[in-house]
Amino acid sequence: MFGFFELDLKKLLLVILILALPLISVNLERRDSDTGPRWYEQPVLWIVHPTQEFFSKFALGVSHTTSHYLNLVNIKTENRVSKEEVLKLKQDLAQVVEVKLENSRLKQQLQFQEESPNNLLGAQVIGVDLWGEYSSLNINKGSDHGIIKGMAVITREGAVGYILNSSAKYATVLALTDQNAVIDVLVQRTRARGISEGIGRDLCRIKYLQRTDDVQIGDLVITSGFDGIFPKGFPVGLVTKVSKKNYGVTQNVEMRPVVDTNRLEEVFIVIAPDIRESKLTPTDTDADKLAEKPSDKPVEKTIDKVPVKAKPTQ
Amino acid sequence: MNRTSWVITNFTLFLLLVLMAASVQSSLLHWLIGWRATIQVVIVIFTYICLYRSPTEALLFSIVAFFSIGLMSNMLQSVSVFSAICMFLALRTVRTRIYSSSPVHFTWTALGAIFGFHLISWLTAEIFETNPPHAHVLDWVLEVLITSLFVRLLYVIFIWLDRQTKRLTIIELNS
Repeated sequence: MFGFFELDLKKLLLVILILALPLISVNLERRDSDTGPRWYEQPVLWIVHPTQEFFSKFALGVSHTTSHYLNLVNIKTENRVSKEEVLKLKQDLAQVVEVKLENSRLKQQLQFQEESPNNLLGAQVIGVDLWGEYSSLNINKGSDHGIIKGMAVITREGAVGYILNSSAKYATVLALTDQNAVIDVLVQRTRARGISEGIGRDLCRIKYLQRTDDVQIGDLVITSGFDGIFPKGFPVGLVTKVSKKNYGVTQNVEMRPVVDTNRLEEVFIVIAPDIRESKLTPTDTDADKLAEKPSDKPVEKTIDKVPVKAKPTQ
Repeated sequence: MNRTSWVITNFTLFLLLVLMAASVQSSLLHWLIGWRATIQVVIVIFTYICLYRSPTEALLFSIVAFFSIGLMSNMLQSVSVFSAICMFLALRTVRTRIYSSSPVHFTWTALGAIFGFHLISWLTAEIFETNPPHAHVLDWVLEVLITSLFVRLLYVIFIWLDRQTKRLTIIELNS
């Protein structure tokens, strides 16, 4: 009968013990959990917790470092991209500023061209004289555009010079400061008449002014219109030096042209001059800048021009 | 190509280079530098040709080049060509008396030629022109100083051009 139940007692006890251990442990866990770890748990916890803490900190450290590094990489990339964007924006901004300035300048030029009673043709300055001792400019309009020798060249600010020679597509302008350039001029305030002659170094000399003529430093010199080239009353320069010798019938007068030919970008060629006096005068800024000792007297407007709409040939 | 063709090619190339240099000098460099004084590439090329070519070729080059670039200035073409011939004679004299193949010699000669050309053209204009220009000596000195920074580079370019057009360069002639 017991053959069926022939069991090895040792084995049975072992099985019971194995089954009982978890039950016992469950039971132990439920008893006095608030009293802290037991004596046999302490050594384990002493080892486990610091180890856990160490590895946890290590893991966190690695995690932070990795994330920092990744962030740095990202920041670097973002920084590079941002820098490129800033650079591009700066370039765009510079272009916009340049375009705005050009637009404003061209608007003024166009307005000047439209309002001028003279028939004007706009041209771009493409070069200056090869040798510094001479003052001439090359422009991108020539005889194909109706330009012929002797035509006056002006800007919004004042007279520049006149056409020296022209080919089909280009022309050379003799600047007023060149020693070979001469034009008929008037001192605006006193109407004293003389001949302007270039002396280089961005200066001109006014010849044949009578000794008795009233000329002061800062006086505005305008075109007389007698030469039939320049429109009458167009600003030429501001008197910078007046000297009289003890003898002689004339006086030495030097003037600085209102237009700086070294910095010119666009000019106008007077195709058909209006011989009536222009009311154009240099701005206050020009006067202050150019005159060594500007005159106290305000720049007068003389004869009003007739509002004839100019028709550019181009 | 035979030797004559290479010589003509080289001559034409340097002539074009002079014209290009003159154009750049009177437009781009002027806008960039903003002074009257500029980098005198034209005279540096002219000096190179005068020093390292046969007298006939150099004289022909001087006349043709300065006649052409005379169109780009208000300076009378006759004054321009006359000054070039004077400078040619001066440079040939320098070559005969003090000769060296070193770039330093070339640099000093070119810088002297810049000042010399201005001086000669001013003197010529002073004698022959009705309204001669004023001498701007400081501008001349400034040009010499500015150009001195670029002479060595230009010298290297000229040697390279000579090699490309099968001309014996000064270095090869001396080796």
